[in-house]
Parts: sequence; C-alpha cells; structure tokens
Amino acid sequence: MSSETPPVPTEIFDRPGEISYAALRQMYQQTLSPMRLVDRDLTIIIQNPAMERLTKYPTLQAIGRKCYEIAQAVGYCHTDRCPNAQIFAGQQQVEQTYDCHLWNGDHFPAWVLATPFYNDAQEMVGSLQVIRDETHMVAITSALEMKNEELARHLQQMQGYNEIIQVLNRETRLQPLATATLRLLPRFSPAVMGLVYLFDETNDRLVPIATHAVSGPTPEFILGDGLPGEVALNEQPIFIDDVPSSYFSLRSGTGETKPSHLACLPIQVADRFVGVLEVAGLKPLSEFRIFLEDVARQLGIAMRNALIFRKTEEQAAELQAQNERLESQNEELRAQSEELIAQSEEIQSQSEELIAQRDALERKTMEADEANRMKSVFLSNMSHELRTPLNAILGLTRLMMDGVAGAVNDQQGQYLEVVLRNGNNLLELINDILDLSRIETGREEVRFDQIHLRGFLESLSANIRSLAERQKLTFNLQLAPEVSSMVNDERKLGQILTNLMTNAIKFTPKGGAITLEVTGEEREGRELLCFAVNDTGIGIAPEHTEIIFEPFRQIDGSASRKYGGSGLGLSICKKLVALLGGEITVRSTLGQGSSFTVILPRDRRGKNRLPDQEWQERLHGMLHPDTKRLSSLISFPASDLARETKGGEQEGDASLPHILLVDDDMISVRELGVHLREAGYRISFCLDGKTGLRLLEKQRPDLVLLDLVMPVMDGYAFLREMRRLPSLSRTPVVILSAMDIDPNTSRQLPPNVRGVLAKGNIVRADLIAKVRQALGQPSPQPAPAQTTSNGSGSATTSSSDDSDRQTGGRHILIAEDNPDNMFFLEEILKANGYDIRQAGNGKEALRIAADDPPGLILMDIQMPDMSGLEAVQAIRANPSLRAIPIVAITARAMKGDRQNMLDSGCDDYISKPVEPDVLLQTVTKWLKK
Amino acid sequence: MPDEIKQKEALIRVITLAQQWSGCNFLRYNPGTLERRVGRRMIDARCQNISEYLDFLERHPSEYHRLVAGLTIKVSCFFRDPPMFSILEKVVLPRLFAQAKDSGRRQIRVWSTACAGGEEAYSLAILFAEQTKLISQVSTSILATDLDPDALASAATGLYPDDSLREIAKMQRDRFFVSSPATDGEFWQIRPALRAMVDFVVFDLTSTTRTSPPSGIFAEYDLILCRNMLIYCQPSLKLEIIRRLHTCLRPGGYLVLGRSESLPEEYKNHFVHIDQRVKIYAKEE
Repeated sequence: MSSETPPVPTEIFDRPGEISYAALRQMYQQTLSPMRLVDRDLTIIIQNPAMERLTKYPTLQAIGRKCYEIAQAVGYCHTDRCPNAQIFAGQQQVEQTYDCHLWNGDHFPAWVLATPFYNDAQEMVGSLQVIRDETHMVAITSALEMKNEELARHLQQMQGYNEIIQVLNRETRLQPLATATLRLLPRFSPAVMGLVYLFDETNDRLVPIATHAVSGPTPEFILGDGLPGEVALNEQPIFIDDVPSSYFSLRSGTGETKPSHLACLPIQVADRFVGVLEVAGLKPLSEFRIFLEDVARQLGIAMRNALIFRKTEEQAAELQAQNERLESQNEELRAQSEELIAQSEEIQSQSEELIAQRDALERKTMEADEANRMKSVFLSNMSHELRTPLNAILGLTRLMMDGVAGAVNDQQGQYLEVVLRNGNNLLELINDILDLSRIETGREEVRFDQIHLRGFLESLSANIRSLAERQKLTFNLQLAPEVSSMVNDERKLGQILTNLMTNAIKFTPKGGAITLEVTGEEREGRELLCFAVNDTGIGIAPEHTEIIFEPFRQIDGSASRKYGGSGLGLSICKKLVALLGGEITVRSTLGQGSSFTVILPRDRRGKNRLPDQEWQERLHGMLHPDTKRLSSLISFPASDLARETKGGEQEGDASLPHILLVDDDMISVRELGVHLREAGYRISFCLDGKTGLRLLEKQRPDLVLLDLVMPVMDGYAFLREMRRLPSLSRTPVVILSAMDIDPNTSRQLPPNVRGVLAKGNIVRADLIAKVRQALGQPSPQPAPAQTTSNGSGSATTSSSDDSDRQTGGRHILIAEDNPDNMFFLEEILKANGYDIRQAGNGKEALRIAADDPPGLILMDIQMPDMSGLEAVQAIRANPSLRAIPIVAITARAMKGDRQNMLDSGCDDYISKPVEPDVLLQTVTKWLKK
Repeated sequence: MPDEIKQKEALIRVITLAQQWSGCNFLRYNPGTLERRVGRRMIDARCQNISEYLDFLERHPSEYHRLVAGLTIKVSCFFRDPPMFSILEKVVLPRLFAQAKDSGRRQIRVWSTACAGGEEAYSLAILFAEQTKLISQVSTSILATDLDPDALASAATGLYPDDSLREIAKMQRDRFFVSSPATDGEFWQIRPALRAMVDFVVFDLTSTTRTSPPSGIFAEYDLILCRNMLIYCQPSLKLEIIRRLHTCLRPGGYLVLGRSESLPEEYKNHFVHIDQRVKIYAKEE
C-alpha cells in the first residue's frame, strides 16, 4: 500500500453532482478493497491494484484468465454456491466467507461480496467481486473464544471450590472429609484419581487416609521418599504434565494407574504441614494449579480442625473412660465398704454380745450400788429414829446413876454402867453412820464460808488442848504467818480437824506430843492450804495406810475395844475432804507416830459449779428477766395479760368459766393459758401466791389451778390462807405440781382441792377432764385415767397377839455373841421367871439344843462361827428339834427382811434394840403354843 | 484377768467420782464412750492406765473439772445435718401446720430434748419464724431441755462463735443474729425476737417421776428432737428414752434422731420412717 496520498484532483465533478472520470479512476486505483470484474464465463475482465496485491498476481496477466485460476474457494467454485454464479442467476448481492486458496497455494479466510455489473444497455455483463482477507478477524475471534472457554473453566473451578468448601464445612471427621474432597475433584478438574496423606508427626511418615479411584495397596512414605515425600520435605507443589511412558517407573501413590499427568501438593495450615494431596489426571493438571492449591489449603484447614476435633473427642472419650474407671473404682470401694460394714456388723454383733455381758455385769454393779444407796438411805433414816430414844435412855441412865431416883445398889450400878457405856458407843456410832450416809447419799451440802484461820483454829484447839492435857499430852498449833484466811465450809473443816486430832490423842501414849501445822502451798497455779496433824503415837504399818480410810475396816478388831470409836472417823474425814475439794494423805512409822495431811484449795469457789440453788436463780433470772418481757414469751395477746397481771378485769366473754392460774413458771402459764383458752375458758394468772390471793378476792374465779412451789407464798400457804377466807374457801382448786406429793401431805390437803395433776405427765385431755370435773361441768366423755394416782396403800402394821402374859417353867435358849446383849436379855427374862441357857454362837446353840431341847430359842442372826440363819436351818433339819419355836433377833429391819427371816425357818423375829415389852410378849406368845 | 477387773473397777470409780462431783448421771452412758473419754483424760494426764488415773484424780482435785468437761463433750452448730433440716422445713413443717389446722389446735409444740448449747432449738425457731404466713394462725412453743444447767445458761445467753453459723445464709444470719461488738465480730448474738421463741429448762431424760418437762405441762408434743444423745446410751437406757419420747408424741407427731442413730427394733413398728436419707420418724396415728 502506498503511503503517499495523491492530491485530491481539483476537478472531481464534470458537472455538479456528476463525478469526473479522473476522480473515479483515482478511487478505483487507490481503494484498499480488492475488486475484480468477472464475465459470465468467469473470465477476469479487470482487477484493481488492491486485488493484484491480494492475489499477488499481476493484473495484465490476470486479465483473461478464469477467476478460480487465481483465487478459488474450495467447495464453492463450480457449484451453485459460487457467488458469481448466484449473481448471474439473478441475485442482487451475495455475501460469503470461505477459505480462499490462491494460485500459489496460499490461503486465507476470506469475505466475498458480489454484485451484478451492467453495460450501457443495462444488460448484466459481469459480476463485481470484492474479496477481503479476514485472517486478522479470525485470529481475534478465536482468541475471544479461548478467553470464554477459560472463564467457563474458572467458573467451574470456582463452583468446585465452593462445593468442596461446603463439603469440608459440613464434615468434621478427618477421613470422610478427605474422601469427599477427592470424590469431588474429578467434577471440577481433570483429576480422575487421588489420595490424601496425613503427616504423622511422631513417626515422620505420610499415611494415606483417603483415596479415590485408586486400586491396589497404597503405601506410606517417609519424609523425602517418593513424590509425596519430596513434597512433604520441600513443602512445594510438584506438577508433572505429560508424564512420558518411561516416567511411569516413578513411585507414587497413583503409580499403577498409569496416568499421564500428576500433581502433588502440600496440605498446610499457616506454616504447619498437615499432609499431602496427590492427584492424577488424564489431562494436564498444571492449568488447575491455583484451584488445586486452593483446595489443598481448604483441605488443610478442614483437616486441622478435624484433627483438633478428633483430639477433643479423644480427650472426651478419655475423660469418659476415666470417669468410668473412677465409677468402677467407686463401685469397688462401695463393695469393699459394704463388706466392711458386713464385717463391722459381725463385729458389732459380737460386741453386742460382749456389751450384753458387760451390761449384765454393770447391772449387777448398779444393783449393788443401788442396794448400797438404799442401805445408806435406810441407815440415815434409822439413825435418826435411833438417836432420839437413845438420848432419853442415856439421860435417864445418867440421872439414875447420879442417884436422882434414889440410891442405887452395886448390881444396879453395874447394870447402869454397862447401859451408859454401850449407849455412848452406840450414839457415837449412830452419829458417824449418819454423817457417812449423808455424804454418801449426796445430801451433804457445801457452804462457802469466809474462814479466818487464826480465830477458827484457836477455838478448835482450845477443846483439843484440854482433852490432850487430860491424857498428859502436849498440844501445839503452828500457823504459818502467810496463811490468814480461806473460803470453804467452816463446820466441815472443823469436823475433819477435830476428828483427826482426837484420833491422834487416842493413839498417842502419855507424854507424847500432838501438833497441828498449817502451811500455804502453791501447786499447778492453785493456792492450797495444808493442815498436818502430827502425833508421836503407835503409828500405822505401811500396808494399812489405805485400809484405815475404809468404813468399818479396822486394822485390828481389838482396837475399838481398846481405843473406842466406831472406826468410821477416818472414812468420814476422807469423804468430807473430797467434798471440800481436797485430799487427805497419811505418813506413818510404826511405833514412832503418824502424820495426817489435809490439802484444801484456798478458795473452794469456782473449782466446782455453783450450788444448784444459785444456778436456778440465775437461770430463772435469765429466762424471766422481768414481767415486761412477758408479751414476747407468751403467744396470746400481751394486752390482756398485762391487765390481768395487775389484777384488772379479765377480757373475754363473761359467761365463760373463769380460771385463775397461780404458778411462777411462765412457760407453764403459757402452755396452760393457750390450751384452756382454746377449750373455752377465761384465764387470768399471777406468779406468786400472794398476788394470787388478791386476784382470788377481786375476781372470784370459778377455779384455781395452783402450783405448789413458788416464791413469796407457796401453794401450801396459799391453801391455808384460802381457808381463812370463808367466802373463798370453797372455790375449787386443782393442784399442778412439778414434784410428787407424798401421800401423807396429799391426805391433809383441804377439801376444796379437787385433784392433783403431775406436770409433765398429763395430756391435754387429762387437764380438761379434771377442770370440767372440778367445775361440775358434765364430762363429754368418760374421764381419762388419771396418771398421777398414788395407789399404794399404807403399810400394814404387823400385830402381835395381845395375849395374857403366861410364864411357864420352861427354859429358853439364847444364842447371842455379844455379852452385854446376852446380859440384857438374860436379866429381862430371868426377872420374869424364865430359865435361861446361853450359847455364844450358832454351833454352841445347836449343841445345847440337842442336849436339852428348850421351849423356845432366841437366835441372834449375826454371829461368828455359825450364823443364826445357818443354825436355824440346822435345827429345822433335826427331826427332834424341828418343833421348837425360834424367834430371830436382828438389827436388820429393812423391808423384806421379815419375810426373809420367816422364809429361812424362823417363826417370828424381834428387831434390835430389843424392847423388853415386845420381847416378853413374843416369848409368851410362842411358849404358849 | 485380775488387772482387767481392777481397771474396770477403777473406771467405775472414776465415773462415780465425776458423778458425785458434777451431779450428772454418767453411769448410764455407753461404757465404750465413757472408756474412750476417760481414756483421753488419762492420756492427757500422762497416766498408764485407769487405776493410775484414778490415783491422779484423787490426788489432783483440779482434774475433776477437766474430767467432767471431757465427759460431756458438746459439738454443735446451727443446722447441723442440713439435709435433715431441709426435709424438716419442706415436708414436716407443712404437715404439722396442716395437722394443727385440721384438728383446730392453735399451737405447735416442739421439744428439743438434749439441746446442749441451744443451736438445734434456735435452728428450729428459725425454720418456724420463716413460715411467717402460717405462724400468724398457729403459734409455736419450742421447749429446749438439757441436764446441764451450764449449757442451758449459755444457750439462754445466745452468743455463738462465727464458725457455728456456717450453715446459715448471710441474709438469714442478719435477720436472726446481731454481730456482737464486744467480741470483734467473732461472736453473734441471737436477736431477742428469736430468743423469745425458745424456752430453756433443766430436765433429766431419765427422770423417774416426770415423763416430760413439768414446765411444758403436757406430755404431748408435735415434734421431738433427740439427736446425738442415744449414741452415748446403753441399749437399755436408749430403749427407755425412746419409750418415753414415744409416749410424749402426739399420734402423727414426728421424732428426729441423730444421723448415726436409729430406732431400737422394738419401736420400728410404732413409727414410719418418712425419708430414708434422714432420721425422721412419724408416730403411727
């Protein structure tokens, strides 16, 4: 093409609107559209320079040649589809594209446009052909098409990628997600088979975990080994397209499938290597590099998650397993513990057996203790009863000896001396027994006196000194200067010291010395006082220093005869000392003297609890600080209570029966109040008898519920006062007592007392029944049994027949070991004309009775050698003696003893001390038979 | 064996002395318990055996106090054994109120038989005080008794160390207790309103003349607690006490025992065990 543009001819038009030849010619020559004119024989008539350049065939030579000789369209020339032929056939315009082959063998895609060519006569003489080389356009088009294809492929990959991500998101387990990924890959890439390896960190190995379309075994790879191993080592993907057949020796997981294209990609999350993805395709895979890399990345994330998930699950499973293990261990422990329980139950049953045995033992101990206590109670009662007549006897005896009742002859003097000596001994014994039993039964109370020691000890010593001097002994009181006072029971301390000192005097021969030494001492932070009574007496053997404190235990029976005394003194001392919170010890050397030391706290208070009285007062104060607090203590409205306390008008329906409660126990008042109000009574109350009387006069209640033990005025006083008021003496009273009332007292209660109820033992129905009964209200139901009845009748008095005294000449055998008693019995009976035989013990009595059977036997029960009861049994066993009546003489006068006595074969019994009248009556009674 | 008998006798002697000194009836305690407790004192006094201890005791009167304190150990706190109190609150109390209402009674009577320092009795009072709606119609009488006047005195004082309140929620604590300023907050004082709900009286469960505390007048209770006392008693005494408590319960009333105590065989048929987890028994109606 010429670059030179010829100047536009000045004359383009011959005439206006008619283009000039020169212009036309120039256009023809200059146009870039190749044109040629072909006649009906397809001979080229002319062609323009552009055609000459296109066909590379010179125009001069082309003219006259056939058009298809220069440029032909295969499949078009010489057919109906030839554009020229179509023009000649009458088409006005034909447009075609075909491959145009040139004379020289060149060819190009061509666009052809043909139009008819007319002569002057308007006859169509040729076809005007424009041919354009379309090579350029075709290239563009095909490039576009390729681009389109690529976009489509990308879209497909994107879809695949999406789908894979969805699958990966859905799946949490490692193997299924790898398999699903491999299964999806062929749909979106040329991959036809694939494998996923998991990197086993502990063994540095690649372990295949999922395959797709792979047959045969899938090997593991170590790092660096084979294609996957290499990828794992370098963490770089490897793509091998068009694997040459020789290459198939390459070891890979897809090895035997003979694929032509391979790709191996590392699976990573961040910089952490997880595994390898290997795929094989029948088409090159490198084009899918990005896709595959993306898939590998997503697979990595999913695998990582799955691994973590699996780990979590494993941990959970491990926990579960641990739990189960623990559970089973627990179970085992439970089983073991049950076994242990079973064993312990067995042991328990064994121990229960043991306990039963021990219980039996302890019951016996307790019975023994109880008997002991009974004995003490009895003794203390007995002693009281004994002392009174004894004092009379002693007093009168002394008077008689003094000749007040006239002169006494020798024999009488002898009798009286025996009486007085024995009487004194008895009195001392009784006093000691009384003391001992008071302490043992816990009836002795400790007082807290402020004792000024010097004054106290000196007045004590005055008596002792004169007694000592009478025995030609010296007495010394030594009081340490730092000791001035103490707090304890003054009377008891005096008793202890006097006892010890008289003892010392008793056991110290003439010329000896007695001292009372008082010193202070501090031991374990406690201030103590030591009272030491020292003597230069006969002393005590070491083996006896314990025994001397035991009651009724004397080292030597003769001692009491020689030294007098009951033998209870020291044991009383020991018990008193313990009661005073102290201790007593003895040190002694036989023949040289003894030293008794009493150690007492300087202040007894605080080392023991306060006496009950004091506690009760304190407790009472705490529970009932004042009446103002009443409202909070009592559940019914405070207002009417306050009014009632002041003695005002009681609230409530005046037609209801009115009950006055007189009781100092506020809890009782509350309980009674609540339930009586509930039962339809009007209630007022007060806390002592005095107020009670006032309320009684003022309110005139229908019934009084009365407590017995109260401050200010107790229940008994209340009842007494009530009787003095004629208008009130008939108001019925029901007593509610916290303590049992003895039958004697209850017999003496005034007639307006309609019943006694025991607090704590009754139920509500009992109270209501009693109240109704006392008020004369009809009982809605049979009155419930009263729980407090004192059913026991009075003891039957044993009566001895008051028959005439009738003495016979028949003799009486007396078995008695005590000579004084024997003398006494003998004197009485002799004086009444009886003949007496004497026996000193059971054996002797048996012998004498057998020799000369008496008319009656008087048998002392407590005798040495053979006791009275044994003797009785022996006599009853002897046919010739069986009929002789036997009367027992016994000091035991406890309940049940009588029966014992009679059961053992005696016909009757007389208790000591023997009253002459009773003796004579009994003797007469039995001798008569 | 002579020595064994000697020790046994020494033990009985020690107990007897403690009994004389204190006035408490220890001999009826479980022998095992007594032996253990005296044994503890024996070790503290560095004695080899009981007879040596008896010797020590007789020579050291100051030991009496420690011995008696050791024999009457009292451990307690509020709401001790929470499951029991929970069932008491949720099951027993509503039934008691319903029973009282059905039979037209205006009072529920409760007896805490071995109340010691009063924790149990006050815990009960708290439970009842919380039933504000019901308590306005039916009043409550809580009688707390013990043999030991010292313990009752301290119960009536109502002063408790912080630790014994550990089972009480803070809100409840502030409602019923006041921190005692004199003790730096280490002690709590029962509020007067709660204090007024409980009466403390000395009563000996082995009393031969009275079945129930005279102050309470009636041997008729809706709820009786006797916890951690029977374990110290010999079987015969235990039976005696259960018999007494059975007598004192209204039919349908409830008896509560300690966690490790149970009814003697003879009485299993007279009660219904209402919940296997706790020792609450209903007297047959």
